[in-house]
Amino acid sequence: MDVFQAVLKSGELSERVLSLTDDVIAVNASNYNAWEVRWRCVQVLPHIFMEKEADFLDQMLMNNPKNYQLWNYRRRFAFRRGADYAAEELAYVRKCLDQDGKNYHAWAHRVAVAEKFNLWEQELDDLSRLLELDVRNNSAWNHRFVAASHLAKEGNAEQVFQSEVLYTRALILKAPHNESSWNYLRGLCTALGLPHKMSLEPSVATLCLEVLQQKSSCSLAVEYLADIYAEQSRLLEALKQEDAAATAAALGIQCFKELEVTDPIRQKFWRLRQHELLSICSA
Amino acid sequence: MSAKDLNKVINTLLRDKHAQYIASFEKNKESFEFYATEHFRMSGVYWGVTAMQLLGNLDLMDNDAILAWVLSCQREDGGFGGSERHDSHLLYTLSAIQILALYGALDRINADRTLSYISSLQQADGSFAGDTWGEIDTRFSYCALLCCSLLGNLHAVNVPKAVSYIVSCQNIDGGFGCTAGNESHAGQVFCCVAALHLAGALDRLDRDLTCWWLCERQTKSGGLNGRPEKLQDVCYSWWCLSALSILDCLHWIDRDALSSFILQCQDEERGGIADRPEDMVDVFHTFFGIAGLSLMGLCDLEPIDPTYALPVSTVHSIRGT
Repeated sequence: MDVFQAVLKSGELSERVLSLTDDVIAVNASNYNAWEVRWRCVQVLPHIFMEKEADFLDQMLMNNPKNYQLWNYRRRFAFRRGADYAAEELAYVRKCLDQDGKNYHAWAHRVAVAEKFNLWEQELDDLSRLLELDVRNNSAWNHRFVAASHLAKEGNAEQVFQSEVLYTRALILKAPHNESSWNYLRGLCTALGLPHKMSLEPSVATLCLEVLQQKSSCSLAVEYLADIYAEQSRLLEALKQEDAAATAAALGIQCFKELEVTDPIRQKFWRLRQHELLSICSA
Repeated sequence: MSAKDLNKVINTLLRDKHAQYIASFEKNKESFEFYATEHFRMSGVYWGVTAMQLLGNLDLMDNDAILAWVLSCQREDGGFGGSERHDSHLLYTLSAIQILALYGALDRINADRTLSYISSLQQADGSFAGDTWGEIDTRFSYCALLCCSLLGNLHAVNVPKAVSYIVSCQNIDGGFGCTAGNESHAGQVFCCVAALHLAGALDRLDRDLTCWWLCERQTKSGGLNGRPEKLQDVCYSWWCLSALSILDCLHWIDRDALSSFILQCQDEERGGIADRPEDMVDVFHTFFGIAGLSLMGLCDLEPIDPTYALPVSTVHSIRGT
């Protein structure tokens, strides 16, 4: 460490300093000073040293898959190598995700690389593969939403919406107790930049009822249905259709009451939601 | 694991044991652990002294030595390193400023130099880098805004731009990620909500949606997780609860179930709190467990401020309220 302190002071950037950072990083891969000096070295040394970094980083990441400093270094490295290596970089990230499908750093890196080199097209296919392996992988669902948003922005948004609703529907029917897929559906309806509302998309309400026919206790479906009724009652209230608004609010309240029983740990929240609808009911 | 599965249910906070555990934490300076934690020691010290203050046992620490050590970690650029041998980083600059605030010693540093270091890390899009090296993360937005606030000059940085960057990291589920497009994570939600609070911009988020995502984090064990389908962990008692508390929705979760989960994670022999029952304890989880209990107003602890992550009394004295 004392030699490294001396190097920091002298500002020397050379092959021997690069190999000194090997040792420092081997002892503590989170030493942010060492990574910075390393980056400065590879930039001034001949190109071959930059190339060798790929192997070094692969090795390091295998042993330290959740290290902030390492992934940040990898990001700089990938951006510096450029578009020619982008597909290879994504393949590498996939390998990391096969080890741990929820590694936050790997997913963040994947977003950064796909965005930088605009590689969203291919992403959906691989996400389907990952969700096939683990349909509850929230990281994959999140990434899918980022990819779908990009594709909607660049192409036919309505088409992306319809095909994603279909895709999600199938996975919800396969595994109804899955917070991630329901959240994804909600996102498609509320945040894809289309004028769809949860309550105005009939296929979504139908899906809730279908799930409940299969599994009457599925609290996520009941919750979604409750949200649809709540949204409907507010829309109808704004249109001055008081009776219809009250009916929707009453249905919403009924759902929230059911949730109090099936999901008791969030009882206080369900009561609060009922309370919000009471005023519409009694108006 | 539910409480009834354990042979023995621990239903009180083992205050003295925790105080002893924290006080002894850095005695063994030759250990590998001591060396491997060097780069983030400043945060370790912050967790330790703040927990001690909440327990009412700060007098057990060698406070003069701690203060001198913190000051020795300030670098030329005005920031603080993780230890005396590391360069400045926003994470450790915040921990250092929090420790100095706790000791009422903010006048011991030149605030303008530190503020200029922090503002030098703000990027064109409003985000903050953690150090001169350029890693971007919403954690650093929180660090920057809180440091500036504690040093009495929030507007040393561009607050509207900082806010718009944070807002760009909100996801469809109501949570926030490290950068735009990254998955919601309870730790990031705390940073973003607290930063928006400091900036006076809580109206920029969908409060109900964010709080709903946060209360969905409570699992049947009573503990909270940080992302869907992940295991519960004591540290989220702080990350989720503080954000819920800032947004005035602490009552949305089941507090009795959460507090009994935290108490089950105590080490009855050595003291300290672990991430989950029967795991190894550490100072990080000890602090977050105690801080979570304090936020819920339990176990006769000094109250902690959810935004500043410091005792309420410290925040009052800094803000002159």
